[in-house]
Amino acid sequence: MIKKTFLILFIAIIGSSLASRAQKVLMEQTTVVPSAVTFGPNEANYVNYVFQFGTLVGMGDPKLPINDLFSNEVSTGFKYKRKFSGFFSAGVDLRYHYAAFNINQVDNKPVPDTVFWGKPVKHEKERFSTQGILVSGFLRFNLDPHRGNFMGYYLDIGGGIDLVLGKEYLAIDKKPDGSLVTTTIDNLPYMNTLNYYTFAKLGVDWVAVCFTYRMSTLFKTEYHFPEPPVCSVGIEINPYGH
Amino acid sequence: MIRNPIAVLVISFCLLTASLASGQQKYWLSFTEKTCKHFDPTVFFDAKTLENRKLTGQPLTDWYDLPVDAAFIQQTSSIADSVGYSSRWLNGMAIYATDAEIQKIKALPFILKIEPMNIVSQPASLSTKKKKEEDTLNREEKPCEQIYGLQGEQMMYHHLTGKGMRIAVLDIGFKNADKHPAFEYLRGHHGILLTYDFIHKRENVYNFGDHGTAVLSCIAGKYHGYPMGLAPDAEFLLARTERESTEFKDEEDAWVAAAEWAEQHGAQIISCSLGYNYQRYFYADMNGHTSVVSRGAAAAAKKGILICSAAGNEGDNNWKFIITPADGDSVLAVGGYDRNTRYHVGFSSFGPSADNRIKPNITACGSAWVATPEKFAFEEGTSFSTPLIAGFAACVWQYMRGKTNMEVMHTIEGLGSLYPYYDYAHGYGIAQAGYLFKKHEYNDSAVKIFEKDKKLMVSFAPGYFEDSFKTENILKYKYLYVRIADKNGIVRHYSVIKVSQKEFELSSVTKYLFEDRFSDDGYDGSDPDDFEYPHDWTVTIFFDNCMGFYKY
Repeated sequence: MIKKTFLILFIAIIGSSLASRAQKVLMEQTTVVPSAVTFGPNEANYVNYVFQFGTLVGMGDPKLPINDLFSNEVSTGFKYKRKFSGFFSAGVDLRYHYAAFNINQVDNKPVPDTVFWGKPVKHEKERFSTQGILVSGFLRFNLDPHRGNFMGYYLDIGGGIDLVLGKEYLAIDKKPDGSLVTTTIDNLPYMNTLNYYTFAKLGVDWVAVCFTYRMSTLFKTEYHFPEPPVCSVGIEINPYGH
Repeated sequence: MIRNPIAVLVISFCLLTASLASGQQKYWLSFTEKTCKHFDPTVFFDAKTLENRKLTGQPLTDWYDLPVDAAFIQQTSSIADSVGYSSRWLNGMAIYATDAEIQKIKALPFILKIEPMNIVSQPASLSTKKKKEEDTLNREEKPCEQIYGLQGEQMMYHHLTGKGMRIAVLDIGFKNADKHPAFEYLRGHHGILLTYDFIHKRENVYNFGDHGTAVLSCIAGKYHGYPMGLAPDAEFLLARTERESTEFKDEEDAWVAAAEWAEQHGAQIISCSLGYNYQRYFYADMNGHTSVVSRGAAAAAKKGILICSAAGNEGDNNWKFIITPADGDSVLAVGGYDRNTRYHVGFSSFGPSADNRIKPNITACGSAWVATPEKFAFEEGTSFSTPLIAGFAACVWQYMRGKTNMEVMHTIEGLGSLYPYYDYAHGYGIAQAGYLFKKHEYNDSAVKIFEKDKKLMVSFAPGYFEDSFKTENILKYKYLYVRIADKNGIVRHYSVIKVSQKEFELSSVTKYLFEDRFSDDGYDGSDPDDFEYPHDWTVTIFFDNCMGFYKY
């Protein structure tokens, strides 16, 4: 009886596998109606993935000696653009944003050592960092309004809000025995939760040069903390654009 | 808490925007009339042009032949920054002008229309994709498929080699074609009659760009005596109309000027492996009458030229569709097939045209053994399918001399391996020389399509399915092609299926008709009242010269 059941099952499996091999679809296409094409780099709607890297530039407060070159920000996320004409579009961005402010270890560094430790301390490495969600809006002005279905040359002007979800201070020190000790302090109460930015981006197709200006203070004003530079310059890449 | 914004930064960018936006732009001008009264075609045209016109019953001259009014050109040139080519067919010219200049030109009484032209372009080639040099090739990859796929040996057997035909090749340059061993035979019979570089306005076309060299080899090249194309005995006019893809200029006006030049010098066929797509246009523009180049192609067709144009290599990228001038209704748009499977090769652009005409029209091998400036290589792209069909067309026209370009074009469509079936990936299928000498034979009773338990089924007549694989057939691969056309005849869905049984359900078709079709329209299947039965829709299948239909 068991043998018979297995035989029936075996035949059923073989049969169904043969039936499924009766046809193999090698190519399949559904015709696209031209009027239905509304999504594309220069169509009515477009969403693209973007990655941006920037570095701080300009002068900050000398009391907080920021190392501009190693103080960077990265953001990555998606950008939606709505086209109104060949010349004018507008859009919104939603991104993850990370910014790090590395502090130069100069002699008699007044801040933040005197605030935290009561006296100037030289660390191996010292930085503030924030991470959060950056929401921004922009107006886009295209310089080649008669272009086809590609991004072209454009200028974006916009602004955004960075909702800071992570605020961290980090100091790395060397102990007398040569080993390193890392001190991190999270949820810093003296850092703002919302930061405001304005930016301008000059782009061509898949790449743009970006200038960002932080309109708000990084630290809450009541703490009277010196501020790092407010400008950054960087590059935005849209790897799937053309 | 909020500081003042950097007004200076924003203002700087705005100024930069304004300065860039007010810069020079390219325009196409159309004039209202032609005022030329005395025109002698016997002086202006090559004797071959006049012979072609006589043979095909065209008038010796008409309005299209008359030159653009010199006074119009002179007055416009005096205002514009610089000028491009003028066209007697389109009665217009290209200019470079600023906004202020274009306003002045607009006020001229003989200006009919001003259209902006964008300033970027690229060739349709995939010359760097899967490229193999001669040394790394297997014997099987030598130029067999590009000839046998079209049944080219039958053309040779009937001594059809393009003799007496004149073909113009429009491309980005023909580097070393004057020295390359692939063209030794062509040079031997003085097959290259004229050359002109429409970019640098000089005769030499052999210094820049190797794409044209490869394209020419697919019509008339020979590899150690073995033909790489079907028309080695044809005569050629070589025109450079395009810069390298890295340069930023629009050359549609040069293309039209070259087509006019070709017609003036007796060309009967134009092989065009260049095209324009997203860089200036949208899919909705691929309607055969929007781009300057498609209007030029339409005018060329009116003058009796058969235009073979690459469908494009956009099938696997964001654009996906055919490019212009392949969108023209009198242009033979050439798609590519995969040499291993003999159905659509992924990169070959899909149709239809934006106004729902069948595109591509015909298919040839999407990869070819071609001449490079130094030696030979294996390259892919509809750039190479196109000259293969141009050579094929030269043989067909040689066989039916006296027929018009459109008659030849429709004949070639009729030689498609799938004809009269078509879809928007293969057109009428692979061009088959054999059908030129032996008519297609159809058997409409061998395959049946029917509905059973709300499923669409296919069945073959007893013995037919097995026999079709036993017989020596034109194509060694046999697939079932199926398409679904709506009540307006527009193909909505199509597929290629490999079958292994005599009766089976067309599950992909059933799925499209009753599930997928509605997802695009937002129908989620929850409300039966929203469901629209495919009223007056037709399902057509094609298998080994048999067709079956099922109408809803």
